[in-house]
Order: sequence, then C-alpha cells, then structure tokens
Amino acid sequence: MGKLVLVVDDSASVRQQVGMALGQAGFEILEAGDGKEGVSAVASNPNVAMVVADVNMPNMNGLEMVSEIKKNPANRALPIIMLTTEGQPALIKKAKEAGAVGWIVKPFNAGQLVATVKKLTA
Amino acid sequence: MSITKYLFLPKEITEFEHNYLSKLNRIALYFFLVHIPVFMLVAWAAGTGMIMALGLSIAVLIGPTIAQFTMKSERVKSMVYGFTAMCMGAILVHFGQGLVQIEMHFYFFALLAMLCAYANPAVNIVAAVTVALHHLIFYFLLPASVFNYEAPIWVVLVHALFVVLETVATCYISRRFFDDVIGLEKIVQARTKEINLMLNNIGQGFMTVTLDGIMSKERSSVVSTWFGNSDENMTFADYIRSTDSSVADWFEIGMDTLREDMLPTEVAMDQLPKRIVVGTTILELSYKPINNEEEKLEKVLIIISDITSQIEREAAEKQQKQLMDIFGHIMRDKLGFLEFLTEADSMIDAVVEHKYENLPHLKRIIHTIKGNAGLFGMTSVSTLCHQLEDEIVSEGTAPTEQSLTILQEEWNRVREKLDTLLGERMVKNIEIADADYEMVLRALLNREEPAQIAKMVQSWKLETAQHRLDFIKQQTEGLAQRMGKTGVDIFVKPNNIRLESEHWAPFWSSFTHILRNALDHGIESEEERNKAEKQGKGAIRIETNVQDGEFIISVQDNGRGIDWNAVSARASKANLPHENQEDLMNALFQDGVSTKDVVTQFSGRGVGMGAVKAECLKRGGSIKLNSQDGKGTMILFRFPMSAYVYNSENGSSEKAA
Repeated sequence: MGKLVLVVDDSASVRQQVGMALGQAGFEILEAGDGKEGVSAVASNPNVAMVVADVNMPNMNGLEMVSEIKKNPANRALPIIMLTTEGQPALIKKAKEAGAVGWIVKPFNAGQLVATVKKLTA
Repeated sequence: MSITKYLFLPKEITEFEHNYLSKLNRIALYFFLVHIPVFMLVAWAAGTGMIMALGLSIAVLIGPTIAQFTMKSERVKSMVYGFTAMCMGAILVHFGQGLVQIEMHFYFFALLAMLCAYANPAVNIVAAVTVALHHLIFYFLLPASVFNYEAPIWVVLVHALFVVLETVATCYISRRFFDDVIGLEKIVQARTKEINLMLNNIGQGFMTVTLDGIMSKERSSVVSTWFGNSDENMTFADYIRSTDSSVADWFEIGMDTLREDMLPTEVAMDQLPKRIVVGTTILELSYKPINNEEEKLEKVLIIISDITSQIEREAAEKQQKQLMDIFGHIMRDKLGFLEFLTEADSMIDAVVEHKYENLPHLKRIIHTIKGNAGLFGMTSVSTLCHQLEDEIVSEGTAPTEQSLTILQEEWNRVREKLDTLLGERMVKNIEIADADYEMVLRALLNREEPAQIAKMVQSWKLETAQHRLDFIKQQTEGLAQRMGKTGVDIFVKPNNIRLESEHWAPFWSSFTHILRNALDHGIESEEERNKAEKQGKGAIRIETNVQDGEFIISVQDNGRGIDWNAVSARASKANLPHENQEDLMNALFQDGVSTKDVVTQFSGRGVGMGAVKAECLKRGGSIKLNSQDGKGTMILFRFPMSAYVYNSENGSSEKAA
C-alpha cells in the first residue's frame, strides 16, 4: 500500500486534482476541507506521511494549521508543503517559519508535485 | 609574424608571467651564489688562485644582486641573469685553465639551454651576444683565459657556430614556451573579453549566484543598466531589492528552499520569481542549475531577458484579433453596433464622471457595458468591466480612480481604432425595405394626404422590429454557443412594428439580461431535459406586437421555470420581503438576487434583472411574469402606445388597435 498523503484545501476541485495526480503515482490520499479538519486528520492518522495544504482556507488557514500541527513534537519531522498563488513572499515566509518545508505555486504541475511528494516521503 | 615580433615578447606582462619570472629570478640568484665555493674549488684544483676566483665571482655577482633588489621589471632582471650566466661561464673557463679548460666550455652551452626556462628569446640572445663578445675580446687580449692551446681564429668561429645554432633553437623553444604556457593567460583573457562582448550584446543578462545567493563578479553589463551597480559579495536579492522588494523577498525564500534541498531541485527552482518590472521594462527571470563534479548543485545561472517587446507584440496581436472580431459584428449589424457605441460612450462617461445614483446603479451600468461589449467582441473592455465588478464586490466600494481610468483608456483606444478603421462607414443612413418603398410610392401616386405620407417617410428613420429581433436572435445564439448550451432554438416574431431606435436602445441593451438568464437559469442542459423526459429542444420565443393599444414584448422559454424556493432563500439572505408571490416577483427583479450559486461571465451576479425593470419603468411599462414549474417561463413587457412605436400594419402609431 502506498504512503498516506493528507491534502488540505477548501476547494474540492483542487483536492481532486492533487488527489488524482498523487493517486496515479501510487499514494493513498486523505482529504480535509480546512485547517481545523487538517489538524484533526493528522492527529487521528499517525500514518500520514506528508501534508499538502492550501494557504487561504476558512475556519483555520494553512499557516495556523502548520503551526498547530508542529506544536506536537511527534510531528516535527512531518513534511508539509503549501500550495500558494503566485507572488505571496510574505505568506510563504510565514509558512516556512511555521515549519512548512516549501511551497508550490498554483496552478501546479502534476509531475513536479509528484516528484516533490516522492522526495519528501522517501 | 616578423622576426623582431617573434624575438621580442608583447609588452604586456600578465600576473602569471610576473609571478613566474619573479620566482625564477630569485632561484637564479641563489643558483649563482652557490657557484662561488665551486669556482674556488676549481681554482684551487687548477692552481689558478682561490682568492682571485672568490673576488672575481663576487665582483660579477654584485650587479645581479643589486638588480634583484632594485629593479621592477622581472623581464629585465631575467636578461641580467642571462648576461650573468655567461660571465660566470667566463670565470669558470678562466679559473679552469689546464687540461680540462676546453671541457669547462660545456658550461656555456648548458646554461644557454637552461635559459629557455625564462620563456623569453631576448634572454637567449643577450646570453649569446655576451659569450660571443667574451670569446672575441679574450681571444685577442688574453687567449689563455679561453683556450689551453694556441687555437687559430677558426676554432673561435667553430665555438661561435655552436652558439648561433643553439641560440636559434633556444629562441624557438623559449617562444613556444611563452606562447603555449607562460603567455596563455593572455589568450584566455582575450577570449574572455570576446565572450563578454558577445554576452553584453545579446540583450540578455547572465550571471551566476552561489547557493547563498551571492552574485558572481562576471556578468553581462546589461544587468547593471537594469539594476544599477552592485557591491562586492552582494546577494542577488539585495541587488534587486530597490527595484522590487517583493520579488527580492521571494527570491530569497526561494534560494533558502533550494539550499535546504528538501524539494526536488527543479521544483524548488520553478518556484523562484519569474518576472520583475524595471520602469517600463518587463524582465523575465529564468534559472538553470550548475552542478559540481559530484553532480551536486553548486550554483544557479540566472538568465534575465527583456520581454517587453514580446509582451507588447502579443498585446498588439490580441488587439488586432479583437478588432477583427468587432469588425465582423459591424458587418453583420451596423445599426446595432452604432447604437452600442453611442450608448456605451454615455455609460462609460457616467461611470468615470461619477454620474450614477448609488453603488448598485454603478454596478448595473458596468454590468451592462460588460455584457454588450462582450456581445460585440470587445473582450478587452468586457474583461476590464468584469474586474471592476469583482472589485466592487470584494471591496464594497466604488472602484478606484485608477481602475476607472484603465477602463476609460481602453475604451478610448478601441474607439479610436474603430473610428479610423471605419471612417465613413460610421455615418448612419436609412435602409428601407422594398415593401415600404412601394407603399410610399403608391401613396404618392394615389395623391394621399401629405401628412400621411410624411408619417410613412418618418417611419423610415425608425428601426424595424424585425431588424432588432434578428439582431437579438443572433446575439442570443452566440451567447448560447459560448455558454455551451447547444441546440437551443431562438424564434422571433417581430410583426410589422417599427421602433424609434434611440428611445428603445437602453431598454434593448438591458433586455439581453433576460435572454442571458433564460439561457443560464431557464433552459436545462440536454442531459437534464432527457432526464425530465421533455419533448424537443430548448427554445426561446421573442415577439413584439401591438395589442389593445399596448406595445408588448414577450419572451417565452420552455425551460425549467423559476425556482421560487431558491428566489425566496436568496431574498431572505438579501433581507428582502419574501412572504408572497408579489414579494418574490419584486425580489426577482431586484439587484443582488440570483438563483445560481456560481457567478459566471454571463450571468449570476443578480444585476441584470434590476436593470431591465428600471428601463421598463422609465418607458412607462410594466412587467408580467408567468412561470410554470418544469414547463417554462414567460415574461411580458407592456408599454403604452406612443410616437416611439409605429405599427406599419395600419400605418399609424396613434391608431394602434
């Protein structure tokens, strides 16, 4: 069975796109619709190998979610990458400070996304 | 290459040559200093006087020692050593008098060869001349210092021949040594210069940065014309910060990510900023990884290209295409287009000059411009209007002056282009149908009332409803196609109505919202129709008529009917009364109520229906709506008869029956 990747995005179509790209590459997908759901998904699924998250989401945004997940020392090594729209250096900086390893600009290239997830979960 | 150029090196001394000669000269001095005890030993063995050998050696070496510490040019020093070498030979031959004196001459030839280490033919020549002069002078003055026997002059010449031949060879070796090794740096420099010349003339900037973002010294000169001068060891981010701090930050975080090596290199590089604008110049940034021998990322090559003209060209092409589209619309419907222009002129003016009542009104105007511009192929204008609408929705205030100016400028630009393109075509002229012409001719021949005939002629200025409805049909078909609603039939029945076009123009332009809504909300997709087992295709019927002293415009579709529950929900969300059918009717024609969740380019902002209602009321009309669930919707606009409507059936606007 493939490694479990959590996809957090309030847009169902983005979740679907990410899910399809990663699913075809042999990953198992877990979806969450906002930051809050993302945090609880990580908490209840210890086998999550990596998180791909949007920044702008209702309830709890991506940045808050990263900080929240990273509060738990068990998740310190859990790689998180953010999907952002172009030209948000301030946001990206905050995300990295919060503990995200990197970001990919939307609309993303499926090949690149897969390569990234493969490298980070290797 | 002439012989002098071959024998004398180019003046310029590279750093490498200087360092090499300096080292060699130092070694030469020590080399000659250690000769002193050897010479004393030879003198002792030959019994020619140790002290004398000591004294003479020191006397010869004073010169080069002083030269070594005072002279600046290493090349001149090397010539001094060339001279010294032969003087030392002379001392050796002199103090080596006796059985092996001739063998002491080996020294000259060995040293002559060793001097090739200087890579300078001039040194070889200095040495050759020195030894030649020494032999000649001493042959006559003190032959015992050179030969241990009574050598005839031709023996001296044999020695000279050896020296000349060896010197030819050593000069060749020295020069090759210089060209191929010692002077190579100069060639490399010349090549670098050439490459730089090339790099600096292709309008693209190249530079490399280390993973810490520090720029290389070597870079295209065009880079500094874009971003100014840089300090030493400056990072690229700091370098471009004064141009665009946001791009600088972005680059910095991007390089951090690249250095951390968590993401695949290509992915991390792809996240680096791709554009930066310097004044009016648009620059594209692209990146290439430079790996070291171990295939690990070491540096990043940044290629900066000026894409301003490319972008301008693309924009020009787009404009050209738009113009062609517009032109196509004009060919199909000149009158409608002229009307649109006049109307849009005044609407743009209203928007820019703040001639609107309130925000919803502004939104309505912009929405109408958007829709009509879209219908006539003015995509650039309709896109700008769409952005303005977004701005109003997200900010909750009127768009900024800046955004409005952009709209006005684009409108003026398109208009100007059209004016020059169309020229005289823009003049309005009257077109009459053959039947109308016949009717007037008959009336004239029958000597009918001049007032009656005048009315007929006047009516020519009025637009036929046929023409108007045909135009609307064509617009609606275009719209249906763009919305992906294929297979919708549009039927028009204009009857014999003529309409005063200026009076009705604003109504017609808002009227398109009705059709848009019918297509978007009313007519179901083919799939949905099949599921509901509905017979036939989706259809919209538009009719103009005069009945019971009223001018009636009706629109009927066979779609799903109005979803009153959705209207009610929307109305309550918008804080509008939604108790009874009348409330809902009102709500439907209120701005801000739309039953679709998704805002499309075509409809769904809930603006259009309000505009139609307003234009209808302005002309003294009323709206009646009849919707049957699953069967369709019919909307009737009723206007009192006026001079703006002419029923050519009975040739009168007043006597409409």
